[in-house]
Amino acid sequence: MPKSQFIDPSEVRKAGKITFNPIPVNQYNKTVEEEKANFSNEDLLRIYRDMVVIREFETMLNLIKIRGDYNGITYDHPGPAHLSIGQEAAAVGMAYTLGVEDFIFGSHRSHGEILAKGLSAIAKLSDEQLMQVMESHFDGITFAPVKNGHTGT
Amino acid sequence: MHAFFTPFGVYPNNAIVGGSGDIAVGAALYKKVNRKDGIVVANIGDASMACGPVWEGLTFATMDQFNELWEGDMKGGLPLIINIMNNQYGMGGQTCGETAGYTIAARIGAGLNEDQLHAERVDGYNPLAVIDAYKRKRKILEEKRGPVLLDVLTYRYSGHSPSDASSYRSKEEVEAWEAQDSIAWFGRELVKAGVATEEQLVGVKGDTINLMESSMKLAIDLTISPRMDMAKYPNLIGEMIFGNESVDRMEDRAPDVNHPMAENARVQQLAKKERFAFDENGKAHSKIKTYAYRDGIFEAIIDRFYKDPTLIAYGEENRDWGGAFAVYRGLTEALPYHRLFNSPIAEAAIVGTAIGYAMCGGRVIPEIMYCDFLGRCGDQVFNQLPKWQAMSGNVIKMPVVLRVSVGSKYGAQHSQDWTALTAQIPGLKVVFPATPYDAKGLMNAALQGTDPVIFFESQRLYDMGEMFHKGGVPEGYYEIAIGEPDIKREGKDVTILTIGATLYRALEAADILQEKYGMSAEVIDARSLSPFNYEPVLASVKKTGRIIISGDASSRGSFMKEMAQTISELAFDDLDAPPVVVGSRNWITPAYELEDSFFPCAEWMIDAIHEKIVPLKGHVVKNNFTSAEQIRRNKLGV
Repeated sequence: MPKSQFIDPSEVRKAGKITFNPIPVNQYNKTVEEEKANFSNEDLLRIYRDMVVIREFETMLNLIKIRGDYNGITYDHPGPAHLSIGQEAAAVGMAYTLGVEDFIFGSHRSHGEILAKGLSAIAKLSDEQLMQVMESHFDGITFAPVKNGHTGT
Repeated sequence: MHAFFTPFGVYPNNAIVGGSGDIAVGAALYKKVNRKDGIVVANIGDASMACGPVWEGLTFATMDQFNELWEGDMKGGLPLIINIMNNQYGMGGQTCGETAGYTIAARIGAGLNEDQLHAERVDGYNPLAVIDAYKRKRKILEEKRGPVLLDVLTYRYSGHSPSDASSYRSKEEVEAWEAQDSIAWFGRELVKAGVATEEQLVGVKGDTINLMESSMKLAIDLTISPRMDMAKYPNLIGEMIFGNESVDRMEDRAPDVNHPMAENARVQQLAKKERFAFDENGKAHSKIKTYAYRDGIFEAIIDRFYKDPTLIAYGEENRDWGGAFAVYRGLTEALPYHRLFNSPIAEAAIVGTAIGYAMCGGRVIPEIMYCDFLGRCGDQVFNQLPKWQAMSGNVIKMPVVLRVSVGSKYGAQHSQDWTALTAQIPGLKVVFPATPYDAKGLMNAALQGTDPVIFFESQRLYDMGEMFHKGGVPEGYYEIAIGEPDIKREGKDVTILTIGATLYRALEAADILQEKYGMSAEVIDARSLSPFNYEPVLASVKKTGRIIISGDASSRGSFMKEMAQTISELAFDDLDAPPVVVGSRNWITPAYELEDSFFPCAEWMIDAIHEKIVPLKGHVVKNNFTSAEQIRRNKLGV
C-alpha cells in the first residue's frame, strides 16, 4: 500500500451498500435492412463468406477425423481436433473490426477465431503488404506451398 | 495450438483451459506500457471462468493502480477485451445449470470493479450483434476505461472432440440450435434485404468447397508441404528450445526513468561499500559496510532498467517495500509505476502476464517471493513459459527472468528448494547463484538473453559478501555464462558439488576434512542446473575419484540425484565409489529450531564420506548413512 493513499477508518467503517448497474443481455435488435446504412453489400457478403469458410474448414477436419476423407481426399489424422461448428458468427463478429495491430489469444477451440482474424486481416491489407508478410514470415516457408497457382485475394 | 500467425495479430491458442486468461492480460500490459497501438482480445471459454488463473488474470487486469497511481499518459485501464466464447459447455459439463453459478456469464463483470467490466451478453448467433458490440467497446478501450468483458452466447453442434458421443445433451437441444443456425439465418436475411441472391450464396459455398479441397491437397502433399526432416536434422526441435541470443535491449528508445542512475540513493550507497567480504588481514567487514548478494542482483537489474526501455518488474511488495528481501530498495525512486509495481498476491497472474508481455516483445522480471509458491503458478511455469519459443518455431521470444527465493527458518510451506521441478522441464534455463559475484554475473546473463530463466535465490544468502572473486564484485558490467559450474576451492582427495546455499556448509566440511583427516576437498558450485556443463565436474572426479553432491532440496527425486546419475554414467571408470547425495530429509521442513535435523550440514557430509566412500581414520559418525538405513527410509517413503 503506497503512503500516498490514506485508508481512513471513519470513512471505510461507515454504513452503506453496494449498488450495481443493470447488465445488458442481447440488447442488439437491428435488422440487416437497418444495418445497410453501416455496411456495404460487399461487407455483408464477406461476413457470410467468412462464416462459410470457417464452417467448411471445420467440417473438413471433422470428416477427416471420423471418416478419414473429405470429398474423396483421404487423410489419416490421429491427433486432436476440437471443433467449434456452430460458433462461426461469434468468431467472425469478434474479428471483423480488428486490425493487424489488434492481438487475439485463444483456446483449444480456436480454429474459427484464427480464420476469422486472418480473413479480416487479408481484407484490410493491400496485396503488396500481404506479399511482403508471406515472403518474410518464416522466410517464406509457409508461403511456399501456395506460391505456385496463387490466384490472388 | 501451434497455429498462429503474428503478422496478422493472431497470437497463440492454448491447449490448457483458460491458458489465455492471464497471458492476454500481459499482452495488453505490453501494449499499454510500451505505448503500442491496438487492443488485445482474450478468447476464452465459459467453462474457463472457473479456473483460478483466469480469475487471477482478471484481478490483475482490474487493479486500481492503473487509474489511481499510474501517472501521465500511463493513467487508465488496459486495452483488453475478455471475450467469453460462451458455447455453454465445458467439455461435457453444462456451465449454466450444472458446473457454474453465474447463469449468465456477463454477471461476473459486476464482481470485479465499479465499471462492472462494462460487461454485457451479446447474441453470438448474429454476427452483426457482435460487430456492434466490438465497435462500442473499442471506444471504451480508447478512452482508457478498459478492460471489457463480453459474454458472447453461442453453441457448438460438434462434440468436444470427434470422440464425443454427446451423451450429456439431448438430440432435441442440438436440433433446436441447428434450426437457428447462424449461417443459414444470415444468408436468408441477406437475400431478404436484397444484399445477395440465393445464387450468390450457393456460389460462395461452392467456391469455399473448392478452396478447402485445393488447400487440403496442398497441405497433405509431403512434396509440397514437407514435414520437418528429423532424419536429416535430428536436432531440429532441440535447436528451437532456446534462442541463446544476446540482446542489450528489446527496443531502441530512451527508457522512462525518474532520475539519472548516478543520482540514485542506493547506487550512491553501494559505491561506498566493500565489494569483497574481507579486509587485507582476512577480517570480515561489518554487515553494514559489506556489498552483499542482494546488491549484486540489484546492480544487474538497475543497469538493465536504464538500458532496456521495455524492461518492467513486478510481484508482491516489489515497489515501496523494495521486495520482501530488499533487493529492489532504491528502485521505487528510480522508476515510474508502469515499470515497477506491486501485483496482486496471485502468482499465476504474475507469471502468466509476464509470458504475454514477453511474447509481444518486452523484457520482464516477475517475482514470486518464495519457491514454495511455484505450485501457485504451476501451469504458467511448466506449460506456458517453457513451451512457446519452440511451439512458435522461435518466432516468439520469451525474455522472462523469474525470480524465486528459497526460504529458510520459515517452516514446512516457506522453506523448500524445488529447483528440480523447474530443471526437469525442457525449455527453462535454471540458475542458482550462491555468491554476490555470481548473482550479478548470472543476472546480467539472464537479462541479456531472450530465453526464460528461473533465477533461484536463497534467504540464507542475501546478506553474504563476496568471499571468492579476487578484487571483489566488479562495479562494471560482466556476464557469467549460464551453465558453467565454478570451482570455489581446489582440492585433490574428494569433490563436493553443491547447489545453492549448501556451498558454505561444504566449505566448512572441507575445512574439517583438512584439519581432522588430512583430506583435501575440491568444492564446486554448480551455479546453474540447466543447462549444465559436466566437464569441469568430470575433470575434478578424474582427479579425486570421489564425489558427494549436496543441496537443500529433499533428496528424493532432486536435481542432486540427476547429477549423481549422470556423473556415474560419465565417470564410472574414475570413481572409487558411486556418487553420494547429501540432501535434505524427505520430510516436511520443520521449524527453525529443528532445522539442523532436516537440512544437510558439514557433519552430514563428513559422515556420508566416511560411511559410503572412504573410511576416515578415527571418525565417529553421528548420523546414519548406512545402506540398511537408506533401504529402511525408502520402504517407509521418508
